Amino acid sequence: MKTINLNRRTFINSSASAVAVIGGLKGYSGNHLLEADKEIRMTKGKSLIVYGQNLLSSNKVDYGDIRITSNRARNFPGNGSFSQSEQMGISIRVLVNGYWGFACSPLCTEVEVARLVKDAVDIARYNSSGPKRSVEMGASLPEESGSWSTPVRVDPFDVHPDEINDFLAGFITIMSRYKGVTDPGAKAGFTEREQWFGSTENRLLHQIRKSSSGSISFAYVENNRKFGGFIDTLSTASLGWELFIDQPLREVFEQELEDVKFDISLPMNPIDVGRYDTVIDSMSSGKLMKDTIANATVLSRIAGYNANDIGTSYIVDPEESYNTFKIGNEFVNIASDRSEVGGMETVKWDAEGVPPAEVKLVTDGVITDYTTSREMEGWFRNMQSSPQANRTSTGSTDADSAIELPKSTVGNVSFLPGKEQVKFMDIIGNLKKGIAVKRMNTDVDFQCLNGLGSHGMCYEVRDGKRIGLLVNAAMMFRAPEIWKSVTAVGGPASRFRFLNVTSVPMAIKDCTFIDITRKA
Amino acid sequence: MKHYSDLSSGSRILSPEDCQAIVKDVIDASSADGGLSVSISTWWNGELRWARNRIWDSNDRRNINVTINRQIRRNSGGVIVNQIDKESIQAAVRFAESIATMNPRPVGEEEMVPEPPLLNKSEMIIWDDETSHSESKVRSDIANSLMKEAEAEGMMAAGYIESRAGAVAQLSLGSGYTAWEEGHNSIQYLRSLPSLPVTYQRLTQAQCSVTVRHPLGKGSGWAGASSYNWNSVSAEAVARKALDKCMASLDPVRIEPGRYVVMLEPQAVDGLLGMLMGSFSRITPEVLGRGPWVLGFDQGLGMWRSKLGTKIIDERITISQSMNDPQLGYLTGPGTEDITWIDNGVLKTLESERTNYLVPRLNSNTSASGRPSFRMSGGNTSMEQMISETQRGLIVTRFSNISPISDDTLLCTGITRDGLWLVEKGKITKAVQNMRFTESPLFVLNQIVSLGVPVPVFRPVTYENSIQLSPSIVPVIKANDFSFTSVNDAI
Repeated sequence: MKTINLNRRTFINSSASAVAVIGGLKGYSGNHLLEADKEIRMTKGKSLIVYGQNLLSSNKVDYGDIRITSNRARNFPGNGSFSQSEQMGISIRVLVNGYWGFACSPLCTEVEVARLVKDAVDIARYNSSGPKRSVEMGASLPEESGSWSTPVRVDPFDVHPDEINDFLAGFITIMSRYKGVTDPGAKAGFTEREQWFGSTENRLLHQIRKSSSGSISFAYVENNRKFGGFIDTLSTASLGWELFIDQPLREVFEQELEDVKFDISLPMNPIDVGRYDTVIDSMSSGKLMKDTIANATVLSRIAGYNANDIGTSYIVDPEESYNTFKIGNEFVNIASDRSEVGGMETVKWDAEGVPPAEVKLVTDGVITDYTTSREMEGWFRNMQSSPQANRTSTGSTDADSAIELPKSTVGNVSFLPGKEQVKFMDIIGNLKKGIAVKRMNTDVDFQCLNGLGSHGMCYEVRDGKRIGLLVNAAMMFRAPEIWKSVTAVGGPASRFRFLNVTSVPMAIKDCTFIDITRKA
Repeated sequence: MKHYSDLSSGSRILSPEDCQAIVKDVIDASSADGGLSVSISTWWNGELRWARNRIWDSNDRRNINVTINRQIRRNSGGVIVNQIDKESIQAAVRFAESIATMNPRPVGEEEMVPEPPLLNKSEMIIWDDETSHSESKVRSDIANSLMKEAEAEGMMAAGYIESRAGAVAQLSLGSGYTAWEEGHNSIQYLRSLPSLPVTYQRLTQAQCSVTVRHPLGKGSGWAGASSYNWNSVSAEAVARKALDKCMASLDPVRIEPGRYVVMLEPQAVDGLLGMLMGSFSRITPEVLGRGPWVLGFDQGLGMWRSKLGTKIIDERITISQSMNDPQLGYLTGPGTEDITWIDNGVLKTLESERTNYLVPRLNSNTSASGRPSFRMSGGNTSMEQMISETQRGLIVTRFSNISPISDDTLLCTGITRDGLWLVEKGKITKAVQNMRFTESPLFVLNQIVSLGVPVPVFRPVTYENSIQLSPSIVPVIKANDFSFTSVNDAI
């Protein structure tokens, strides 16, 4: 296996100038900018949390939690420079007589904690003087204290910025040496989200989430036609610098370049509007699954908590739909798991201090669970004698920082593979006549019900071969219909992760295609 | 200043004096070499959300951002922090200076254009004291009153109320920047000044939006209003309108897609014009030879020509922004000036980006980057009159999921949402299922039948560090042959 040798550290360590170079720049490694942040890390974080917990207890709230966060981000735009931002925050959230109060500030001191507790309690108390509202949260959690950090092999904040810039510049140079390649670009970004969490349930948790992401792209020109390509294996992951250096990126690039050359060699034809047997790749099926199933099974969305912004769900009655609503056929199995190693949303505890549960959202095409916050879990439990009666929540809430409210998310969501070891190209090989789609974007309505898949590569397939590109083609779908028309799914070897979605390719019968530019 | 409780009574954001002190700390911590820019944003948000006819979130959120950029030997280094104690500021400055010694000069900035002088308007009319001091109790009382009617009708209301105050203080680099450009030392220059040239711009924002839905999802209505001043937001009217629309939208029937006469309510007009307002750039036609405003390549000039001066839409339409328009609020920001984009149907102005050094040769600073405020001219036809004069058509509340299809024609697609009604023989006859449209705003603005009186629409800014509101004032538009391409049964 070929790998790129772009490691400046290796070069520097073996050169006579090593001491001078590293000595002059050693201030970078792992540096935190904020003095207050250092204090929090070293001494104050835990004591501030305990201080806040005591204040919450003395205020006799039904439930309360305190979060302190410190976020670092380092971005490399690919022109040899980099920038850094650091943000801290502290928040208090309380529940009083069924009403929540929330207050936050960037200033992490005891004076601010006291002010925030007072503000949050005042807000909740006043709201509770209005119409009656009851909140029964999911099962209470045991007292716990602990610390956890995303396991990374090479912490990107310990890597010298020059090494990262050299890597990116080197890759740009390599790409530009291939005939026909233009506009090469390479970027990288790294984040670290540290959180102290305490609650009135005597939980005291410390968590550091690390993530890396990258973007490597290029254009290829042949016969006055220009197509773009990108490396899709660098999407945000809970990994360190190894996301870049442990991959055979040059081989990935060469494969992508071959794919682009193949695409550019194909004739381009208009789409004949109609129904086609269709094969879509893992990235496309993942987007489709996230937008039409994962989002639709977030219980707060079903309950109408997002009705005034992103929308609701086609699942109207969560109790009646539980274990009965058939969204797809037996090929459709979907799970969410925030403990997955390397997943974008992987945590030890969510923003409410709950360890994530493995959730089987869809089993053999039937809705079998929802993703929940603590409030939503309790709401659902009261609705029916659920087999999940003792669950706290699915551990699915998230907040970028203490300045943000915890919100329900889908977590790391997976379209589970079939048993047969088939891949995208294998499924295309079995297609006599139809359409194959790669890297489709989905645009789904406010009820996760109807949508368009477009802007990807859309191929005309004959006798198992891709023979042309279809211009302006868009896949039109309605969620229950398309998921009930799945005729094959890829096997374990075809699993592919992009951001927080892992998926497999699939075949769909009689999929509707339109010309997206055609008016009525 | 270490705590919000140190601020003067009732203040939730940093004052000009607080910001001056932070800038001074930055300058004190800077090495005596090179250029400097500092920007401090400070904001407070009081929010309240409700769903299922009960408040479920009420909060008080604040943050500060200090962006420091050091230029050393024409290289630059930038950091963003949100702690304002001296030690943190010193560490941030040191870090920015260290980055500057490493970072190469950014590609494409060989001929940096000097910053235009910043406008220093400390008393802008996008600030309202009452809005900046509003209490969560007030929001709570309002929200509880807004839910009552929907609950009494057996409907489910969800809504959002926000009061916001924010400010951005910037070290004005006008003279300092020039000194640096001439090879002098801007830090030394700044230290020599009797008072620091720090501009301070502040704004408030108030918004209320309500969605009322049938509990089994058989109908949905929405309404919203936003302004810099809470007293301009009639929350009761918003809630009433959302409930009325919900009740009128129950059990919609399916009609065939096709071309329809449409009466687009102002919120729908604003959504549809989004692509148009984002297209006013000189670069795409005159540099790149793309976009809706490219006319052709001029061999003599050796450049692409644009459609400036050409009639492009109905002559009843003028789209402009004025710094003195009380309904738009005072428009702030570098390079802001009165602009008429389209004058009686004729394309009059294309945006020049300050940072692009090709374009200033063509025009001065005409900046509308981001999401510009605008006013669109209208007429005097009421919605009732439009309906009465319609044989068969559709009334559209608003659009959702608008996405571009073609940058050249501005063709886009999207979905109707929260209320679509069929008009037959001069009367509203039934609620109809939502539909997907595929249409260009340019086509619609060439198919106008009549226009209503322009009114402000719901158009709050969501970016918490923003120093510019972006209201729009648009009329109801009645237009022919609007293209609906498929039915969407989502409600």
